[in-house]
Amino acid sequence: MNAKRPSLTLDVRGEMCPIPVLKTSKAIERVSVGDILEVLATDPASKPDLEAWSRMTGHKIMEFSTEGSSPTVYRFLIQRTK
Amino acid sequence: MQKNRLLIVASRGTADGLYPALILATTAVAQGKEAHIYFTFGGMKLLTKGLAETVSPSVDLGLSREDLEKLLAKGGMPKLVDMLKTAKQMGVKIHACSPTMNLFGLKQEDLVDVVDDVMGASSFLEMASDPQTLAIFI
Repeated sequence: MNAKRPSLTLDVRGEMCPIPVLKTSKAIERVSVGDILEVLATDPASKPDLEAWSRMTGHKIMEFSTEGSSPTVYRFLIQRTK
Repeated sequence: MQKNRLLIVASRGTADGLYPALILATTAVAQGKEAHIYFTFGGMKLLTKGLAETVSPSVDLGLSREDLEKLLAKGGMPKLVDMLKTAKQMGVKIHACSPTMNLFGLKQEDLVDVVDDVMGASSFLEMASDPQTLAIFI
Protein backbone atom coordinates (compact mmCIF):
# COMPACT_ATOMS: atom_id res chain seq x y z
CA MET A 1 0.00 0.00 0.00
CA ASN A 2 1.34 3.40 -0.96
CA ALA A 3 1.17 5.51 2.22
CA LYS A 4 0.44 8.61 0.20
CA ARG A 5 -2.33 7.22 -1.93
CA PRO A 6 -5.51 9.15 -1.14
CA SER A 7 -8.54 7.14 -0.09
CA LEU A 8 -10.84 10.02 -1.02
CA THR A 9 -10.63 13.03 -3.35
CA LEU A 10 -12.48 16.28 -2.68
CA ASP A 11 -12.80 18.45 -5.77
CA VAL A 12 -13.57 22.05 -4.80
CA ARG A 13 -12.15 23.63 -7.94
CA GLY A 14 -14.07 26.82 -8.71
CA GLU A 15 -15.42 27.19 -5.18
CA MET A 16 -14.58 30.24 -3.12
CA CYS A 17 -13.66 30.83 0.52
CA PRO A 18 -14.89 29.42 2.89
CA ILE A 19 -16.30 26.44 0.95
CA PRO A 20 -12.97 24.59 0.45
CA VAL A 21 -12.24 24.62 4.20
CA LEU A 22 -15.84 23.74 5.17
CA LYS A 23 -15.93 20.81 2.73
CA THR A 24 -12.45 19.65 3.74
CA SER A 25 -13.48 19.54 7.39
CA LYS A 26 -16.47 17.38 6.47
CA ALA A 27 -14.54 15.18 4.03
CA ILE A 28 -11.75 14.41 6.53
CA GLU A 29 -14.38 12.67 8.67
CA ARG A 30 -15.08 10.34 5.75
CA VAL A 31 -11.57 8.85 5.69
CA SER A 32 -10.18 6.62 8.42
CA VAL A 33 -7.61 7.89 10.91
CA GLY A 34 -4.21 7.63 9.22
CA ASP A 35 -5.69 7.73 5.72
CA ILE A 36 -5.18 10.46 3.17
CA LEU A 37 -7.67 12.95 1.77
CA GLU A 38 -6.79 14.62 -1.52
CA VAL A 39 -8.14 18.17 -2.00
CA LEU A 40 -8.13 19.97 -5.34
CA ALA A 41 -8.86 23.71 -5.18
CA THR A 42 -8.49 26.86 -7.24
CA ASP A 43 -9.24 29.43 -4.53
CA PRO A 44 -5.96 31.39 -4.23
CA ALA A 45 -6.51 31.53 -0.45
CA SER A 46 -6.81 27.75 -0.17
CA LYS A 47 -3.12 27.23 0.73
CA PRO A 48 -2.92 29.66 3.68
CA ASP A 49 -6.47 28.80 4.74
CA LEU A 50 -6.01 25.02 4.72
CA GLU A 51 -2.63 25.41 6.43
CA ALA A 52 -4.33 27.42 9.19
CA TRP A 53 -7.09 24.79 9.40
CA SER A 54 -4.41 22.10 9.63
CA ARG A 55 -2.66 23.90 12.51
CA MET A 56 -5.95 24.41 14.34
CA THR A 57 -7.27 20.87 13.91
CA GLY A 58 -4.04 18.86 13.87
CA HIS A 59 -4.83 17.09 10.59
CA LYS A 60 -1.56 16.97 8.66
CA ILE A 61 -0.82 18.34 5.19
CA MET A 62 1.59 15.68 3.88
CA GLU A 63 2.08 17.13 0.45
CA PHE A 64 1.23 20.31 -1.45
CA SER A 65 1.67 21.00 -5.15
CA THR A 66 0.38 23.35 -7.81
CA GLU A 67 -0.51 22.56 -11.36
CA GLY A 68 -1.16 24.71 -14.42
CA SER A 69 -2.21 28.33 -14.60
CA SER A 70 -5.40 30.35 -15.09
CA PRO A 71 -6.58 28.89 -12.94
CA THR A 72 -3.79 27.31 -10.93
CA VAL A 73 -4.94 24.11 -9.27
CA TYR A 74 -3.73 23.62 -5.69
CA ARG A 75 -3.45 19.99 -4.63
CA PHE A 76 -3.24 18.93 -1.01
CA LEU A 77 -2.71 15.50 0.51
CA ILE A 78 -4.03 15.65 4.05
CA GLN A 79 -3.72 12.87 6.61
CA ARG A 80 -6.48 12.42 9.14
CA THR A 81 -4.72 12.30 12.51
CA LYS A 82 -7.57 11.74 14.95
CA MET B 1 -3.56 30.43 25.02
CA GLN B 2 -5.91 29.66 22.14
CA LYS B 3 -9.38 31.11 22.39
CA ASN B 4 -11.70 28.25 21.56
CA ARG B 5 -14.98 30.11 21.27
CA LEU B 6 -15.93 32.68 18.63
CA LEU B 7 -18.77 35.08 19.38
CA ILE B 8 -19.90 37.33 16.55
CA VAL B 9 -22.29 40.24 16.81
CA ALA B 10 -24.16 40.56 13.52
CA SER B 11 -25.86 43.94 13.63
CA ARG B 12 -26.21 44.82 9.95
CA GLY B 13 -29.21 43.78 7.91
CA THR B 14 -27.38 43.61 4.58
CA ALA B 15 -25.99 40.68 2.62
CA ASP B 16 -22.46 42.08 2.90
CA GLY B 17 -23.01 42.53 6.64
CA LEU B 18 -24.31 39.00 7.20
CA TYR B 19 -22.19 36.81 4.90
CA PRO B 20 -18.94 37.57 6.76
CA ALA B 21 -20.58 36.61 10.09
CA LEU B 22 -21.76 33.28 8.65
CA ILE B 23 -18.47 32.62 6.84
CA LEU B 24 -16.39 33.20 9.98
CA ALA B 25 -18.71 31.22 12.25
CA THR B 26 -18.85 28.16 9.95
CA THR B 27 -15.08 28.27 9.40
CA ALA B 28 -14.54 28.47 13.17
CA VAL B 29 -16.54 25.26 13.60
CA ALA B 30 -14.51 23.64 10.80
CA GLN B 31 -11.39 24.55 12.79
CA GLY B 32 -12.77 22.85 15.87
CA LYS B 33 -13.97 25.96 17.71
CA GLU B 34 -17.36 26.64 19.24
CA ALA B 35 -19.12 29.46 17.38
CA HIS B 36 -21.99 31.75 18.27
CA ILE B 37 -23.71 34.54 16.36
CA TYR B 38 -25.68 37.14 18.27
CA PHE B 39 -28.07 38.74 15.79
CA THR B 40 -29.15 42.25 16.74
CA PHE B 41 -30.80 45.30 15.14
CA GLY B 42 -30.65 44.94 11.32
CA GLY B 43 -29.04 41.52 11.62
CA MET B 44 -32.31 40.23 13.07
CA LYS B 45 -33.85 40.45 9.57
CA LEU B 46 -32.15 37.16 8.72
CA LEU B 47 -33.89 35.49 11.68
CA THR B 48 -37.32 36.92 10.90
CA LYS B 49 -39.87 34.97 8.86
CA GLY B 50 -40.80 36.85 5.70
CA LEU B 51 -37.78 39.16 5.91
CA ALA B 52 -34.92 36.67 5.68
CA GLU B 53 -35.28 36.22 1.90
CA THR B 54 -35.42 39.98 1.31
CA VAL B 55 -31.99 40.82 2.72
CA SER B 56 -30.14 42.81 0.06
CA PRO B 57 -26.59 44.08 -0.38
CA SER B 58 -25.77 47.52 1.03
CA VAL B 59 -25.75 50.48 -1.35
CA ASP B 60 -21.98 50.81 -1.08
CA LEU B 61 -21.45 47.27 -2.36
CA GLY B 62 -22.98 48.48 -5.62
CA LEU B 63 -24.64 45.22 -6.64
CA SER B 64 -28.26 44.11 -6.82
CA ARG B 65 -29.33 41.09 -4.77
CA GLU B 66 -29.76 39.05 -7.95
CA ASP B 67 -26.29 39.98 -9.26
CA LEU B 68 -24.64 39.21 -5.93
CA GLU B 69 -26.41 35.85 -5.70
CA LYS B 70 -25.27 34.98 -9.24
CA LEU B 71 -21.67 35.88 -8.46
CA LEU B 72 -21.70 33.96 -5.17
CA ALA B 73 -23.33 30.91 -6.77
CA LYS B 74 -20.44 30.78 -9.25
CA GLY B 75 -18.09 30.33 -6.31
CA GLY B 76 -20.23 27.60 -4.76
CA MET B 77 -21.56 29.92 -2.05
CA PRO B 78 -25.14 29.24 -0.91
CA LYS B 79 -27.83 31.91 -0.51
CA LEU B 80 -27.90 33.67 2.85
CA VAL B 81 -30.86 31.70 4.19
CA ASP B 82 -29.21 28.42 3.14
CA MET B 83 -25.88 29.54 4.62
CA LEU B 84 -27.72 30.16 7.89
CA LYS B 85 -29.15 26.62 7.76
CA THR B 86 -25.69 25.21 7.03
CA ALA B 87 -24.28 27.14 9.99
CA LYS B 88 -26.99 25.73 12.23
CA GLN B 89 -26.40 22.18 10.97
CA MET B 90 -22.68 22.53 11.65
CA GLY B 91 -23.44 23.51 15.23
CA VAL B 92 -23.16 27.31 15.18
CA LYS B 93 -25.32 28.64 18.03
CA ILE B 94 -27.87 31.22 16.87
CA HIS B 95 -28.90 33.87 19.38
CA ALA B 96 -31.68 36.41 18.81
CA CYS B 97 -31.65 39.83 20.45
CA SER B 98 -34.57 40.50 22.78
CA PRO B 99 -34.40 44.35 22.69
CA THR B 100 -34.60 44.25 18.88
CA MET B 101 -37.62 41.96 19.12
CA ASN B 102 -39.28 44.45 21.49
CA LEU B 103 -38.47 47.28 19.12
CA PHE B 104 -40.15 45.62 16.15
CA GLY B 105 -42.85 43.81 18.09
CA LEU B 106 -41.48 40.39 17.15
CA LYS B 107 -42.52 37.25 19.00
CA GLN B 108 -40.67 33.97 19.19
CA GLU B 109 -43.04 32.50 16.58
CA ASP B 110 -42.04 35.26 14.12
CA LEU B 111 -38.50 33.89 14.06
CA VAL B 112 -37.14 31.19 11.75
CA ASP B 113 -36.67 27.81 13.41
CA VAL B 114 -32.87 27.86 13.58
CA VAL B 115 -32.84 30.17 16.60
CA ASP B 116 -31.37 28.54 19.74
CA ASP B 117 -32.44 31.21 22.19
CA VAL B 118 -33.40 34.82 22.77
CA MET B 119 -31.00 36.83 24.89
CA GLY B 120 -30.13 40.37 25.91
CA ALA B 121 -27.09 42.50 26.67
CA SER B 122 -26.30 40.91 30.03
CA SER B 123 -26.15 37.34 28.65
CA PHE B 124 -24.07 38.54 25.72
CA LEU B 125 -21.59 40.36 27.97
CA GLU B 126 -21.23 37.35 30.26
CA MET B 127 -20.37 35.18 27.26
CA ALA B 128 -18.05 37.82 25.80
CA SER B 129 -16.22 38.22 29.13
CA ASP B 130 -15.01 34.63 29.16
CA PRO B 131 -11.24 34.64 28.55
CA GLN B 132 -11.72 31.69 26.15
CA THR B 133 -13.99 33.80 23.94
CA LEU B 134 -13.03 35.93 20.99
CA ALA B 135 -15.83 38.45 20.43
CA ILE B 136 -16.06 40.46 17.23
CA PHE B 137 -18.55 42.91 15.75
CA ILE B 138 -19.59 42.83 12.12
